[in-house]
Amino acid sequence: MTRFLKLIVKEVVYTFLLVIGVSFLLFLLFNMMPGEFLGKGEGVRSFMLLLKRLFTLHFGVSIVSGIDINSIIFPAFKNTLILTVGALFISLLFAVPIGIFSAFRGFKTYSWPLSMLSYIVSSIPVFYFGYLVLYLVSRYTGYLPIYYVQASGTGSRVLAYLLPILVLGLGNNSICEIVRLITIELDRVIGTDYVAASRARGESILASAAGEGILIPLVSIVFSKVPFIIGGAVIVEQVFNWPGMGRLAFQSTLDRDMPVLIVIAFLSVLMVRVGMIARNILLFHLNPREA
Amino acid sequence: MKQFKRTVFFSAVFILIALCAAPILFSQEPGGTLVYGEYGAPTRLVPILANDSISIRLIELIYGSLVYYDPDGEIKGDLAKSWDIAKDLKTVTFYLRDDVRWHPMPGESDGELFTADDVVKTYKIMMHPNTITSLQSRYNFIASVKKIDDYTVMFKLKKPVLNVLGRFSFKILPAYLLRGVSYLRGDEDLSIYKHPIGTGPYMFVSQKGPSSEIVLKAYDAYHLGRPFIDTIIMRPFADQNIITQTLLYGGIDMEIRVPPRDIAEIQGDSRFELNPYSTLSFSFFGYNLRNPVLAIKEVRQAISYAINRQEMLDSFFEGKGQLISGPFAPGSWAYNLDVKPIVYSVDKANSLLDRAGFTEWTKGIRKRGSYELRFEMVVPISKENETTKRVILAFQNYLQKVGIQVDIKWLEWKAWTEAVFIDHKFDIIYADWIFDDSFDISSLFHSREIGIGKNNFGAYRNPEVDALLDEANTTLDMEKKRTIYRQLHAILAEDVPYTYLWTLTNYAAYNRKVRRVEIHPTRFFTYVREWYIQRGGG
Amino acid sequence: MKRFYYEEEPVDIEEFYVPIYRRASVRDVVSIGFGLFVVAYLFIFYFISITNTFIQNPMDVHVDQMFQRPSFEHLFGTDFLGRDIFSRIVKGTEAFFVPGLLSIVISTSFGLLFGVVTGFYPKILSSIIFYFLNIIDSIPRLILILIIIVLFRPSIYLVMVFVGITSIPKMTAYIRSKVEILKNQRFIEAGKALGLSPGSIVFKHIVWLSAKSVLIIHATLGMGEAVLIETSLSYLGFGVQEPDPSWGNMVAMGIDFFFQGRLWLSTIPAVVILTTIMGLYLLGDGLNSIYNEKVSR
Repeated sequence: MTRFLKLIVKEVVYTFLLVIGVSFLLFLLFNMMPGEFLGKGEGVRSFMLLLKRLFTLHFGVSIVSGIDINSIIFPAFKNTLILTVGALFISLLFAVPIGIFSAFRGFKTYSWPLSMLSYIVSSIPVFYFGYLVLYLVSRYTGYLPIYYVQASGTGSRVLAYLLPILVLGLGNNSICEIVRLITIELDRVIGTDYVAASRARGESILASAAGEGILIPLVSIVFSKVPFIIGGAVIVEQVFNWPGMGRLAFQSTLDRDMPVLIVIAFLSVLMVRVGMIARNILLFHLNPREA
Repeated sequence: MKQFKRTVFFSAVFILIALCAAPILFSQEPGGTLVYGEYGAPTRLVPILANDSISIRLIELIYGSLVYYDPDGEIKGDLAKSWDIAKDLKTVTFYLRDDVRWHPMPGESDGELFTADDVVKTYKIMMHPNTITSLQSRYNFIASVKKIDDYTVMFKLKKPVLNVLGRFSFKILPAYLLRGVSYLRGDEDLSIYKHPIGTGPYMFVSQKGPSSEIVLKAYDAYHLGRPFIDTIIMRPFADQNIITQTLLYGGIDMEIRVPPRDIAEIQGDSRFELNPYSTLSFSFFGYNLRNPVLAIKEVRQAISYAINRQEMLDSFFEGKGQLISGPFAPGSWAYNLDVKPIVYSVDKANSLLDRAGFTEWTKGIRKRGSYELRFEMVVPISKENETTKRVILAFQNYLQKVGIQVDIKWLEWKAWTEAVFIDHKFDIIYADWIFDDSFDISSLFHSREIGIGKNNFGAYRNPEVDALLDEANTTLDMEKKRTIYRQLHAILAEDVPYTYLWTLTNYAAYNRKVRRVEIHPTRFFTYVREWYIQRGGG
Repeated sequence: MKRFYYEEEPVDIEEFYVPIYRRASVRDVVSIGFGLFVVAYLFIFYFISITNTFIQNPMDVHVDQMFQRPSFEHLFGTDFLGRDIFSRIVKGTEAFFVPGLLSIVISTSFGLLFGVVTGFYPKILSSIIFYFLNIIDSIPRLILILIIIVLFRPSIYLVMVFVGITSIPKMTAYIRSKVEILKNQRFIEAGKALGLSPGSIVFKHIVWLSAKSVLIIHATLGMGEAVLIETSLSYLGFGVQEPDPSWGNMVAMGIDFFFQGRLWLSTIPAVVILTTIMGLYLLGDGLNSIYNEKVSR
């Protein structure tokens, strides 16, 4: 128990330091930016104030629009979450089977074109893919699946949600990364004694390899995608007019809205660390040996 | 016989009903929602602080001012019901309406009464030195303001001003929500930043964050008559191409500014209407006369001759605009039709450069001694980059043919502003100026406007122009002012501190169900009270 | 070919020494073939670009010849300023070649360095290094790059340096995990027992072993990633700036004309990007499978 507590305390302290580090970096960069804007050139004192605001969770208001940062960020966060979690799900949905197939020698001849296809889709510039999808869908179905689908009634809500998620999930290099990881890990695992032994016992490869080969790298990958889940996909959000965090962060940088950006970074750091902790706990349970 | 009578009777009834119905069918009906799309998002919905077009359009819906111009150019009262200009022309007194209420706060049913306090407070905040705004130079013809009683305000001017009434177009803020505030910087924690309250035709309902849509509702107690359209929603877009597509597929009802390349597609679609409006602006190439080579008039003139403006206008903007010969929009009273735009002539350009002494050629660039015809053009990376890029690259190409090399330096928007207006580190820029109705170009070309943050970024100095500008600003005779401006037009065309390019015609596109649309050139929604949505198809 | 007796992962499955020409399957041959084809045209284009031996000048503006469809005279058509798209594609390799290499050199070398260091000194030094890497990792990548561009200027070299920097954390973590596994293997103890100087030789072997599995794949994929990031930046307006062509900014400018039916302006560069990335990846994959993959049974 105490070991657990010690771990948690260590994590909290580390997160604390990390937040300070990230905020400091952003603060520094912002003060060097060209152009006249509020908040430029202020010194250490304002940095301290900033930290205090962050840690008391009173985020204040946006310098540019005067609106409460809370009411800006949380809706955007919710929107981004829908987009990125959905996209991650789609990526996994496609990538995991392909990865598994590639690893098993028997499927190699069939899986190769599939994994090639997945790489092709991953290598298309994301916004081009988005435009292409929009063009085809709008010309063929008469609907334009943009986030704000409707003023007067026609249009498909389903498509408007589905398509950006699809585009983000398939594009953006995610599938190819996951396929690669799974193939490599699975390959490695198949070669171990553990699996050889279980095959000798007559169990199917999948069942025995599944426990180690897939779940662990999968868990790692999913949790490593946390910054992506937060930061969102700037590009897809612009094309599909999705009011998410990525677009917010982009706009804030151009507008020099430092408070908003720092809060976004703060959230990002928090989530990453939480993700790390969760992942370590999960891995601990899945595989005590490799913890 | 009975049959006949019955027929006559029913026909009569029918005709009577039809006659009554007709006006109903074709008259303005209340109700409906107008969704319009903008490229970009507003900065903030507070007058004085907000300077960008998107915010200004929304502010036009939410806030009111003392007076405004109607479509025929007549001054009409908005918050003021009448006014008095003293004989010495240095005092203007406004008699305010007593039936105006500020929009109610959420949860309340009635808003506060609008009084003279609001006008005084707004003016004081606007002119406070700590307030971050560019409006101060526009209103410093006013010496002081005094509240005479709850519904009377008196402005004393520093000296008489021509057409002074039209200058009182600033939006009024609610004093009761600004108690204890003397100036606005933008980072205060004020309720009006989160929930704007105004006296305009529409009330702010919600905005869930800067990239989300803004919802406005018609204000029932609007003193000039409740607008017909119930709800107006503004949708910000991050991608310009998507806006037009969204319009075509019914996602929005109106697009404020259609990019030239999309005009053809909308024109061909009978469901939509294209409404041209001009914005009292012009585009130009500006020169930094601090550069000794650019200070030579022949060089600037040569550049003007070397570019084919008509070709650029036709190819990049589908010809939707007009070439100009001076710093005014062609439709305005100041434009001198006798001054002709510079014709495209490569020969003339070459001969001018030869005359200026740039006769040696090395590597395709002209030289005179140690001075090369090589300039740095600084361009902002802005959102509307398609036509900008094309103009700039075409410019570079035209100049290359006469031996001038232009190096393009791309900077992010704020960095560009700093380079042009503060550091003055540039040779050429491509930009446009947007004017309000008074067309005051003195801040662009007067020598006292040279300096950090001021509009005469090119350091153009001409005592004759200075004198004429000063005279134009003090004269009270409209005809005289017109004559002076025509003279200025001729001089500035000859001197080319800028190469004047064109004034573009903007097009708004909207679904035909929106009727009676009259668009104000700079503020767009000034006449929105008359717009209505036709029900039942269309 | 094995060069050191201990150079094998501890597996109990018998390993046969199989000569290359047997190890390479059809798939590998096709991969490498295609990959070499891509590399070939990259080099040819780069060469043409540097020596400026174009048939049609890629920078020549002809306002009267805009938007021409692909034809004999203009193989890929002309763009929104009448410039020949094919020669712009050729010149676009300049924006991609050296900067892309720069990004993978940075990410690989620093990734290796930090990975090995943190693998060997897992305590304090590793914590410090990971602290800084975590800071970089926590900020969304595109935003960080954007901030850098705003601070300075949109220069492709600067951008690529930062693309490289933002790839370091992942590399480091990967290398470190390899190092951790390897350094406890018995062959290291054996090497120490044999008297091999701990520092350099063991270091070198571990570094080599951990790196080779990742080097080829990472190098080839890294180039692809660099192009895609530049393309995204161009869409936002901050990539390689006009008039210099890059495949990314050609796709980005082309989509302004997409819905009007002028699809080739952005589709052609996108296809080129796709082909190039695929080719590089296949090359890496093929080489990797020949040299690194163990054949079992």
